[in-house]
Amino acid sequence: MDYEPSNILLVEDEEAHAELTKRAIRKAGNANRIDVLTDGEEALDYVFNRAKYADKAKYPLPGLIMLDIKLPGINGIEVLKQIKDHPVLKKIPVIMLTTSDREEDITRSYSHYANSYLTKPVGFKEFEERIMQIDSYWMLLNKPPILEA
Amino acid sequence: MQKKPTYEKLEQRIQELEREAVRQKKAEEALRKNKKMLAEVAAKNEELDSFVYRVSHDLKSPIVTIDGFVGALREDFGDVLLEDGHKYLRYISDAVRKMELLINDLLDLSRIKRVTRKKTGFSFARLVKDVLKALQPQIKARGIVVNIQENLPVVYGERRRLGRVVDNLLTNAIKYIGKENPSPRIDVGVEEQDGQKVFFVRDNGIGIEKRDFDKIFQVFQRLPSAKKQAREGTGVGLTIVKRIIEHHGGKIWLISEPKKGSTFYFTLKDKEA
Repeated sequence: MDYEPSNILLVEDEEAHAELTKRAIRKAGNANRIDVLTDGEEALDYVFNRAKYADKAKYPLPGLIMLDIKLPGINGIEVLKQIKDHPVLKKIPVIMLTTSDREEDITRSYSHYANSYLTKPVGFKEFEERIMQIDSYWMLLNKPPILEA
Repeated sequence: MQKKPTYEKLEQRIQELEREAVRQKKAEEALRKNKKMLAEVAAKNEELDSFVYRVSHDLKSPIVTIDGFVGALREDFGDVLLEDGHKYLRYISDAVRKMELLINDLLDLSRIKRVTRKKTGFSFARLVKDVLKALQPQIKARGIVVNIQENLPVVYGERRRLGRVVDNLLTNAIKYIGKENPSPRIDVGVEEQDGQKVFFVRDNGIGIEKRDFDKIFQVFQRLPSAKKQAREGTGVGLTIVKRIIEHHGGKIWLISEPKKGSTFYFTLKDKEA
């Protein structure tokens, strides 16, 4: 199983939010690579190494998944569910990153074992700081899981 | 001799009863119609709340983008922007801030009836003190004396939301204390009215005309006198307060006089048996 703990997979359909998030992650400087996907189905293809992401060496499993909830097609909660239902993938930390603070979204995310739930704050500095905090916690402080096939 | 009037009386009584039965039937019909109408209005209100919630929520996402890129522009291209460019970016940021406040208030407003949180018993004095802590900078800046009555009772309800009530009432009192007020003062307390505990937040600020008493609890209503005193404000704050109090089975009203100040009163239900 190809696994690269210092890679981040960002699943975000809003191009602008993805750009802001990438910018902050790059600024934090702890991630090796950030791959951005814009819909749920693609995200599942990526982590299950299917379709155009079948090349495991080219698309190793990331050390962290940042997942938006509102996605076209398969939504973030369903993506989360499928990841957490898998015996190996379930160990990868998944952070829900969304504008929604709806109680039902929070509850559903944790019911499917999200590792964290964070809202995107309004305000450039606040947004950047939050992403950088996520990045330094999960990429620097946290010991990543050991994935065995 | 007596038989005839008795029979007539009986006839009369029967007619009265028949008329009464018709009246009752009509009243029942009217009641049924009113109940149906009330249910329809309640359903429409619920639908409207959920619509406001969805729209406000969707508006949050573009705001994150606008403010995010204003920040990125400042950081990445700030040195090549002329003074006017910086001024324009500031205008955008200020507008975003106002919109964010409005969206958050609308979200809170639409959530009150849809989501009920756990009710607990807690010290009202502690709640007031916690809220006041966050308001200290404004209170200090205006030199306001705040007096909290001793021995405030324990209240029963959703602590966070009742905190919002106290916060909004105190914020209002501070905002409209009056720029020229020589001895600005706010009192928070409880008194007995008709055997009922009535909480109050009293200020000696600019006050409100009697004709506007109802208006101020309506959504998006900001009185011209209020706008003159404070530019910020979404016109949703007191509507939120009223909804939270009503959600707790209480009532809110005010007594006020221009240039003398306002007192906002509210009741809360005791813990249900």
